[in-house]
Amino acid sequence: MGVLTLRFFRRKKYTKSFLSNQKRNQKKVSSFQSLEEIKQEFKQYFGEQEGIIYRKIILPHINQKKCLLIFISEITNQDYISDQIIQPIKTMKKHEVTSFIAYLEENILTTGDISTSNEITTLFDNLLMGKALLFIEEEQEALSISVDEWKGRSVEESPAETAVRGPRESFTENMNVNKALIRKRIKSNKLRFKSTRVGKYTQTNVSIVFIQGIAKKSLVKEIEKRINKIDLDGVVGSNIIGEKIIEQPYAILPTVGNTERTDSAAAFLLEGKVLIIVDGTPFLLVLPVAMTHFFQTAEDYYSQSISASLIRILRFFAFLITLYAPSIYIALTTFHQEMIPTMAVSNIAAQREGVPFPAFLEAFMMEVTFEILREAGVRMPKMVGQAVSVVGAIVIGQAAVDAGFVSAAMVIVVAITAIASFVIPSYNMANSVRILRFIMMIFAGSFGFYGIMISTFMIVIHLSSLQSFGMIYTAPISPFYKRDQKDTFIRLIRTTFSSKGKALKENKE
Amino acid sequence: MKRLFFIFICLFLLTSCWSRREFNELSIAYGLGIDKEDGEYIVSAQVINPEQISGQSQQSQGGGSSSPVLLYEERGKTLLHTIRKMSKTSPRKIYVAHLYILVIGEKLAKEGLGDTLDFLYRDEEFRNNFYIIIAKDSKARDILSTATPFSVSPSEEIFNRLQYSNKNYSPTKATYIKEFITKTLTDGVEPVVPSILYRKPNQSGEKDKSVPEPSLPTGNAAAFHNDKLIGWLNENQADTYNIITNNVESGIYEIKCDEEEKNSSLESYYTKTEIKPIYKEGPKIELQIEMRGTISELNCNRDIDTEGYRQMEKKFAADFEKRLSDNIKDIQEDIGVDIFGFGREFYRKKPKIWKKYKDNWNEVFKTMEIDVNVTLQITNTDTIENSYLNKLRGGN
Repeated sequence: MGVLTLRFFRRKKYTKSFLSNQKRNQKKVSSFQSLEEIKQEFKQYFGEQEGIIYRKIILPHINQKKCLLIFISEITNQDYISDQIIQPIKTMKKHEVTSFIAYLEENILTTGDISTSNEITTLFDNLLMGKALLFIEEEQEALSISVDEWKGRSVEESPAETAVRGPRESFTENMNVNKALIRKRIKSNKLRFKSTRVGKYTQTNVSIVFIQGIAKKSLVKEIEKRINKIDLDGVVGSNIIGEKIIEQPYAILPTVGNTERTDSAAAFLLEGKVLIIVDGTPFLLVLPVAMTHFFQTAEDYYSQSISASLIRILRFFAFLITLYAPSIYIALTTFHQEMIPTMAVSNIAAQREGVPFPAFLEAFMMEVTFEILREAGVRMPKMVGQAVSVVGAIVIGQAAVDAGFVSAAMVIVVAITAIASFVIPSYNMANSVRILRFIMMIFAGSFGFYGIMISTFMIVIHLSSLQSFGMIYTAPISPFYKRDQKDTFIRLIRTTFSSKGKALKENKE
Repeated sequence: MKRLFFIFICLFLLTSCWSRREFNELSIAYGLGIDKEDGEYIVSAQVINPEQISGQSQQSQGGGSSSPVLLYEERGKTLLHTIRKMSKTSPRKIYVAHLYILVIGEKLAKEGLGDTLDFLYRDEEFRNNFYIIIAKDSKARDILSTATPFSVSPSEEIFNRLQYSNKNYSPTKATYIKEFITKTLTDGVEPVVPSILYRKPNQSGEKDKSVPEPSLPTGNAAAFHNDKLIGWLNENQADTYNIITNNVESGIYEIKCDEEEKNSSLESYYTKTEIKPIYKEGPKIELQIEMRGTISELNCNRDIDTEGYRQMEKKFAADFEKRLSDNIKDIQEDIGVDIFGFGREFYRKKPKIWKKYKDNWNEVFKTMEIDVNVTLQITNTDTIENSYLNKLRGGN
């Protein structure tokens, strides 16, 4: 799973076969007998893709000549097509010139970027680029007319997943825009969208995205099956779909990933993951994911391998701090005073002097206070949020210590815990860790390090029981996949996207 | 599921160490002193007042009028009983896990520490990284009740001083309790322990002097036979002891350019002794001592070239061999027990011979022939080459 994010190690074999799979189609437009055959050729090439419109036009003034206009509806401007293409050719009168195509191009169509081509493969590519293709009966060539319109709310930066050097684009609430954004990054005939409607009243569009040939067929089938089984009144966000299709919805740790970044989404697809777009949510669901997925960010791939690796390791370290720091403090000060370095013991003892509560209660109060402040900060309108942080800093910091309710060391522990929790890139994962931290504190307060060990074992047992669509949650650490280590704790330089990371491949079906 | 739940419950019921205690229920002892008088133990515990010691006293308490350390003292038949008895005066549990030093009164040391050590060895609260020290000519409580200049806690100061001195001054020996216990229990080696001298505060004179004399200087090292103190090593002997037991990190020695010259000094930064047990008409020991050092003071009337340094090395080695041999002879005669661990070397390398002699090893040790070989390498002369004095006179 380290694999979770962009899979950078692909075997060469795979790359080769992926490219060579797109057998270059040598056919010419002129070799087709009728427009119907051309249409079949396209349908065969693109498979049963939605969004590709085959528009038959009959020219009433020119011997009822038949035309075929092909375009992808999501990425083209419909007004433009009807006003600038269909309208003029429908109303055109006679033509005296021998080449009808040349006449159209020179005299009729008003679009700027028009090209003619005979190569069917060039035309396929043009279609994916957002051009409309115009085929005319009995003509040797076809016209590619530029009518593309890549939709998006004025391209905005992702507020939840930021990257200093990465692309700024993020998904929006509009499903068609999201599809367009994915198509924009992966211009392949293998890209597939499969849509269905979920929700009795909302009839929300839910679409599975994957790359045929990279994503496992069984995985796609399973996801489709589970989505089709969903029986809900309405769907208002992607998480509702996620909860309904995962194996263990009550797991403490998240088993569905999500992303708002288009670059991450493209990388996941190339790795062989399946995305789910839910109309109305800018967060795409990512399946399947393992635990290490939540510690990897797009930024890792936009900075040097070495520094990215170090930062990743730092993130895991921060995860341990945020999970253990308060528990270890409690255990040390109430059970294992002998483990504190002698040089530090007088300082810690001095701070505990006069604090009226046991260390556990002190830590618990402070952690709860922090969680309240944090929640307040998230929920409040941005303009008021400032006040919360000011009050929070004064209350849980200076004032509590001065009043003698809390020791200064405790404030340090709470602060480092809080800051470390913000290092975990996934919001879902950070929330899960909060829960685990409190459980661990209770055990540490009752049994010291022994309790910390018990709760650690419980967490490991819980982790081992999880899976995400057949992928083992602890992979590639346990079971250990050597190859996947190149992109788990460290990030080596990519040779190719791995669509078949061992962890993904080894699904227990 | 039922079984799982049962196992889970067992996790909590089958444990010991329930000892939950907050810091404010503990008195952290930095020093512990043990004396014996009239068949009763006198235990003195030097505990810290954390607020005072860390300089964090709260404003509300009106500023540092109370002392940073307190001394509790009780008498009793057994050690633990005596320590617990301190709760008559101390509001908190005396907590000994952070002990810096254990001070033993000379009288008790001469009687034997066997009973005392059993408790220290057995009790789970003691760590094994504190120093054991003998209060020479005085009682442990006297040492612990003396104020020291640098650190508010005398125990901490003595610990730090011994640690530093052990590293940088070759005659000083510091002994962790672990080493002491191990050596008392091991055949063929006897422990050596540092001592502290007690100086009565000079009540009349003290005020006149603007600079008070340092209290509690380190005294001679004490040699033990099993758990009993049997003699003292003077500085020269302690130096020899440290060299032979590889306890010298850096030492300063006199070195001469030639016969007539004044003393110069050699700072050794590497001293390694190899003890070779030999059997030739009785057990013998051969010591191979390898030293490396730098010239750190040079008082010579002439310039010295490389050849000169080579001669200095040879001369030093010969003198040093003699000095060590003399000191070893003194120790053999005066102390008469094998503090060097020669017996242990026989036990390790020539076990058959050890078996033969082990019952009266100390008798053998007293008369054993010991051959000392020293090799010195002068590796540099610090920042200048020839003697400053010589330059001054010679004018070149």
